[in-house]
Amino acid sequence: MKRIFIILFLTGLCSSTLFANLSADQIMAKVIEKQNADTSALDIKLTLIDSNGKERERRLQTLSKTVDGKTSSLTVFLSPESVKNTRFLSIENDEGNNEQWIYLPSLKRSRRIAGSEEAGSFMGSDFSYADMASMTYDSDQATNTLLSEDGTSYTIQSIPNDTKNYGKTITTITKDTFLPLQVEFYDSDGISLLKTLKTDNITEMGGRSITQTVVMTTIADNHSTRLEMLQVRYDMSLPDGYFTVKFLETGRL
Amino acid sequence: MKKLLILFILMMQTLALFAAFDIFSDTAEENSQRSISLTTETGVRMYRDKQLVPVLNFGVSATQETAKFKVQADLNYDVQNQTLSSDQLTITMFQGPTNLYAGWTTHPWGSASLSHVVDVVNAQDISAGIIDDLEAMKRREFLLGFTTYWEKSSLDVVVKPGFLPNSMASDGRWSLIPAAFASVTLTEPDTQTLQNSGGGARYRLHMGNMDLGLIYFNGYWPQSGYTNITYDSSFAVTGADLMYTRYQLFGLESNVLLGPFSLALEGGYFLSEDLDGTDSGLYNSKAAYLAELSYTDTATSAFFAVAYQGQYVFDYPANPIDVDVMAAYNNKAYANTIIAVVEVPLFRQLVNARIAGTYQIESEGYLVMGSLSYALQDNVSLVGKAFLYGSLSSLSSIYDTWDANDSVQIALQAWF
Repeated sequence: MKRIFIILFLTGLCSSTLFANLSADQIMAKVIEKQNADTSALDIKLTLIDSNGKERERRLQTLSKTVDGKTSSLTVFLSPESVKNTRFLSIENDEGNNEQWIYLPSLKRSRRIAGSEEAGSFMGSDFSYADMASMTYDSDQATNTLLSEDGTSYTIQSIPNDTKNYGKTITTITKDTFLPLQVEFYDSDGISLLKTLKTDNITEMGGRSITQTVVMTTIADNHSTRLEMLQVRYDMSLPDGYFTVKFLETGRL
Repeated sequence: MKKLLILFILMMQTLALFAAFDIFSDTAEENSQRSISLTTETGVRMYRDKQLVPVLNFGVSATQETAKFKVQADLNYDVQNQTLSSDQLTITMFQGPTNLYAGWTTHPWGSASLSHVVDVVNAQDISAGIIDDLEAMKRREFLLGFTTYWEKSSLDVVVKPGFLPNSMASDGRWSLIPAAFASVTLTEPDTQTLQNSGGGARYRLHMGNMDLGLIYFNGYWPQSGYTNITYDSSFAVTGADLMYTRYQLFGLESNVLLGPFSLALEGGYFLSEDLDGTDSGLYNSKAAYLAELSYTDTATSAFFAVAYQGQYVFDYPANPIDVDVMAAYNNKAYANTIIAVVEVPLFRQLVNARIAGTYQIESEGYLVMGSLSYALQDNVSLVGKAFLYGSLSSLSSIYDTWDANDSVQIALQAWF
């Protein structure tokens, strides 16, 4: 599931249970397990911050629904004005591929679009489309190694099987919520640090513990993006009508 | 202008009657959405002959929507020409799988990005040249329409009570009338009558990696023909009545994904009321076709597209004053055009660079349009544009006629 802005990475169910002697794969499996939700609705603000501290804002809302392991999502772009009311629909088909359409209000047209833009910048931010889909790897996607552990956190190194986006990530995960606290993203050589992601302000939203704010920084140009969750809802009733060309074109169920 | 203002005021007063719609809202009151935005464009355009023309436009866009209704009013005021125009003045009702609308608007058809041959509902406004926005070039007119959706398909129907022809300048730098005909008296018929009504429908189907649309339209060709031509004693034309050709379009549009590429195809058969092509004032039947291949680079979001578009006129006449001959390029029954576009966002979308080129093969005419925008702030952009018209030969074409209209424009655009 790519180019879908689930961001469930940021969320997890509260748990007071402490897990002892877990392997790296088990820890990452728990991180992913905590991210699972059949439906979600997120209201997101992205703030792009250049190296001089100048800020630009983007705002979007996204809905997602998973049925039988297949995820559909709908994203509505609210700002800036130039992309306002642009809508993006992605439907995972039986073959596991995504059928994608975009509706451009200025053209009054919806159009099927090809492929994903995994490595491309999402709305000019420091997040790539792939980052917005997921920033953790399960055991099928990467070789996970537990680098260290202390009283409150695990540090896991993940070397993905497919290194086209990153060669290595190092993720620090809290033991109580299994929410990632920090992620370092390395180039395909596994040595050069490309980006860092830091989380802040863990709070309760939508019935879950959630990291309300994360900041992704690109090392090369010291540009960063702050991603804030303004509103969150999980596991609510979400009609299939949201994930249709009709909703894409009309904004109505 | 007064009519537009009154309509705008009436519609905005009606807006408060509706409630709203938001996935994060729990109550009808919270769901009521009203938005008003203002736009301005301030700048200057300089032509090759050094004429400077100020660019000063104000726009207001107001929307009120509920789950059942949407009212939209987009008005523009051109200070330079002192004209108020409506980009959109519509009310839409949503009922189950169907939405129904009425108002001054456009109804777009076609699956390609760069150009269309089946997007026939609205005529074009080329009274100020060609701009790099197909939708903005359309003439808004009163339309009634509905769209109904099924799981994998939809049907949209549009009705035009009367029609508007293409808008062209009759004098000035954008005029397409030869100097020899400048004094000819042309009588324009009233086209906005019920006798001139038209309408059509499109059925779209989504299948796997392909979208397919079938189109039928019955209406008028937006370019005028001529009848009752009068001459003086030296056989120079002194007057003519404009006339329009009714036709039926049987068309299709499709878009299919081929790996990272999108292939859009459009085609249509325009069956003229002049079935045997013998009336010199009416346009003959023709076939039109378009193929467009586009690609978006996954790493940079750069967009590339190239299109080949053309038409073939059946029963192409030998009569030099037949409208098909007068509208032809280099006296050919066929006309073909290549269009290409590259658009590249740079510096985290702070800068957007775009260049588009059109080359008309039979006349060897061309148009190159470039633009560069820089986002000074979230809602303020500095936009530079350049337009280059010309021809590689002396053959007659719209591009050759406008050869002296090369220009550069710089403007500040803001949204509030």
